[in-house]
Amino acid sequence: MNRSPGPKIEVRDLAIAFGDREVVHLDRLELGQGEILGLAGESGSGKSMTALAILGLAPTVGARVSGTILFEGRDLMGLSERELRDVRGRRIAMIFQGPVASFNPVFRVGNLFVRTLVLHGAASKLEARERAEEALRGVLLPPSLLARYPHQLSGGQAQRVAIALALALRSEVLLADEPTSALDVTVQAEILELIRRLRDVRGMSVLFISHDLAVVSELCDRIAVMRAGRTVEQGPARDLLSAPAEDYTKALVAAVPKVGLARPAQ
Amino acid sequence: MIDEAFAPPQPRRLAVVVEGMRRNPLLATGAALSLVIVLAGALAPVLAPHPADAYVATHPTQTLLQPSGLHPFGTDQLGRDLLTRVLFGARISPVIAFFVLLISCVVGIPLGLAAGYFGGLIDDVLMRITDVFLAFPALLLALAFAAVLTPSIGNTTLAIALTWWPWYTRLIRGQAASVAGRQYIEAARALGVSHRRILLRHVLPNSITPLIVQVSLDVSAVILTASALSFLGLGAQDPTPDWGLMVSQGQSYFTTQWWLVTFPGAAILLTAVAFNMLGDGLRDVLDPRRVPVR
Amino acid sequence: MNRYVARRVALALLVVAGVVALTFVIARVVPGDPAASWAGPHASRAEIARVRHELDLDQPVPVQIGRYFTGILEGDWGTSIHTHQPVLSDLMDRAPASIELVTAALLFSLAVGIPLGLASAKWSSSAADGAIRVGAVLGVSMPAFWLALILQLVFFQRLHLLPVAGQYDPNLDYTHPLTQYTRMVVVDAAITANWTVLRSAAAHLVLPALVIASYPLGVITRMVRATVLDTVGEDHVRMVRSLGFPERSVFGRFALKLALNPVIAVVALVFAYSLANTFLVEAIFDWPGLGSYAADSISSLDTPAIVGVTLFIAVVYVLANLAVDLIQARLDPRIALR
Repeated sequence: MNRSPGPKIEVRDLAIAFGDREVVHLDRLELGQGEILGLAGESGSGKSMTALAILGLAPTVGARVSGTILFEGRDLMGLSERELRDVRGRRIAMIFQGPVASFNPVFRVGNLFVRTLVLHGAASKLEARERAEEALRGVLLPPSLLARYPHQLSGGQAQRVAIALALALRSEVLLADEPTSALDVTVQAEILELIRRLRDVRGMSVLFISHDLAVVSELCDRIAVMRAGRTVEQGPARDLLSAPAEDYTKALVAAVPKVGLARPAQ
Repeated sequence: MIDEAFAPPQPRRLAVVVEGMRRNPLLATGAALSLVIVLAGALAPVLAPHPADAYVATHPTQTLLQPSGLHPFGTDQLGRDLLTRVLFGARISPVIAFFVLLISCVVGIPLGLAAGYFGGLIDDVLMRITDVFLAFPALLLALAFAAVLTPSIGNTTLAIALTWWPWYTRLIRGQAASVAGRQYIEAARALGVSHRRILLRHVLPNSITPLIVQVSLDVSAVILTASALSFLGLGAQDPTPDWGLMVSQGQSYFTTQWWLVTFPGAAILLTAVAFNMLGDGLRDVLDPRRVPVR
Repeated sequence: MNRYVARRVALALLVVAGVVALTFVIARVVPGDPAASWAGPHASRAEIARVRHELDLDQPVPVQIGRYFTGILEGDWGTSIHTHQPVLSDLMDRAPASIELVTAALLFSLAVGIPLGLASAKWSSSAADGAIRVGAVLGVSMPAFWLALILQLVFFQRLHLLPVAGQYDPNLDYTHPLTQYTRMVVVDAAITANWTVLRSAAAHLVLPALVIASYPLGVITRMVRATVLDTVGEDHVRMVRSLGFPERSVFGRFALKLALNPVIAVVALVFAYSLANTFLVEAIFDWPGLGSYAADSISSLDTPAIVGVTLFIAVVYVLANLAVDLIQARLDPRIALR
């Protein structure tokens, strides 16, 4: 895999506000090429908003955004809506919490696949269909699932389908917003494994957002801890977990049920 | 009693509505307009320029006068001041609506509660009966009933009420059925709480909100139906200043004396709009399921 | 899915049976003696008695209902006392005109209401949205008979733009006679390329259809707006945006299909109201449909005709509801599961 020198995504001085209430104020956040970065923190810390802002979707929920978001050196904040739409899905994909609800209930899943692939340049519906089937196989699901409606899929299946969508689009970055929080623990492990494979085999860079430090610690190379819209601490996972510098991080780590995953600071 | 401990807290409806009026212009406007209309009717004897013209009166020298300072809405074919009659008409339509909805609730709510809460055979039978009634458009069924009875306001009210109650049975039944299935109801039953108490203290209060919304929306529908029946001659009779009747009476003069039809009809429209806005506003404010429509 | 269909059909049949029984009961309560009406004002007592026996009016009510049921299934809906024709053929004569009117009105309200609702949702809280919403409330609150009269005054009396009586210019029967297939004048004229009659029929159709369309238009616009706005905050909209779809697809393709379901549901409701309004409108515009037939039947106490019309309308309404249920289940696959 090509390893470009700089970070894949670099966020600088990001400020997101609702009215006069500022919810995010990030100095710096970097997602390296082929890296899994964990964005950890409690609910309301601004993690999801940050991800939305990267895709330029924050205004759709009424937020004002300022700052710099560099994607391979290009500032996404300066792009027109049309240029942003080219980036969305095609180059940076996003998966959400509650995967079944993320799909429009009256469309068959395959339908969404085909439409999206055609939108982003597939030559024909046939080609789109083939790519969709290939992608489903890539996430270890039978292509027949494409004929199903979202409510006919289990949570785990739906999330895999969402990931398959990113695969089919050949996205380079995956923003995963609490992808396993609504799933059973056993299914959770499968999804995490899948994400790991995406990075290993496809070189995908992943921003993994979660409130569950245990999950983050298992999967991620680097971790950034957020609180009240700001980064408290960031660094390589092993270091952060074994020797957290900030009090807040220490508290988070200490709160993790100890099944041999993270060692509390002494 | 202990069953109250399990029950979810009841919303403080009145406070919500009052607060809602401040924030929701639809509700505020609808409520204000409806109030104006009801007051106009209530105070008609005082507000009307020629109160004696409201019912029986003839002024042969003043027939079919155009709108003017003395008669802002003109006069009708018997010389009666139209503004007065329109104002007095505001005493009729809302009252019909009130009684129709009252009867519908009195009949429909207990039946709906029984059907939804007890389910089983009662539910099936009642639902089939309401199905039959609901198989007709309300106006046509009311027409059928009204055609059978001697035309009068009372009979119109009765005819419409006969077609209206099934909707409320359906509505309450749905609510009752969904509440009856909840776990705290099971718990209450297990504790030996009586059916009556459960129905009154738990099922009914939870069904009130959609009921309120439905009633306020139905006011317009009933008023429109009643006017249509009067227009067809099946409702209020002369000399009653019913708006629908006035439109019907003015029909033959319409091409030259346009005010005879225009003003009473506009009154119907305005009243229907007012109560529709009120109903919409209440729904926006009271229904927790709906994302507030901006 | 098939079980769902079977259940709905069975229920519908049950309801229709109940409707027939109810109508019969109502009709029997109508004061006046149908036998005397049939026999005519100069009939003797013996003649009236004979007619009464022929029309089964001397049988107990349950027997009458039973005979009526079997008759219906065989296609005999009784004979109109007023026209002395079989009720069924009377209905077949008059129904197409009403169907034409209601269909035109509903098509118009769907064609205009859905885009208006979408626009209203997309530009919500703007001036355009406000105007559309006000219009919708007016449509929903409009007394149909009043609107009919006002439109007649404005477009016929004052502006001389549109005609207000009948289905088409009766003089054309001589100059451009129309061959009837469906008995819906607009459709027949179009099929047979009889452009003169088509123009006349279309012109005559505009005002009555517009009046009937006002209520459905208001309801559909509001329903589409509400549903789309409800949807907009939901997760699947966020996902579709994150995939790079432009806003017009987000609304026009994805949100719309979701909104269609409640719209279809509402069409059934609206259909009922429209039937009732058709009744009023036909009287005012002199439209030769079921509405005027029913009005005539009521005033002449023509019981078989009254029952026939009622049955017909009820059957149509039940079928419409059934169709709507089935379409809904098709559009939203989650429904058949309930």
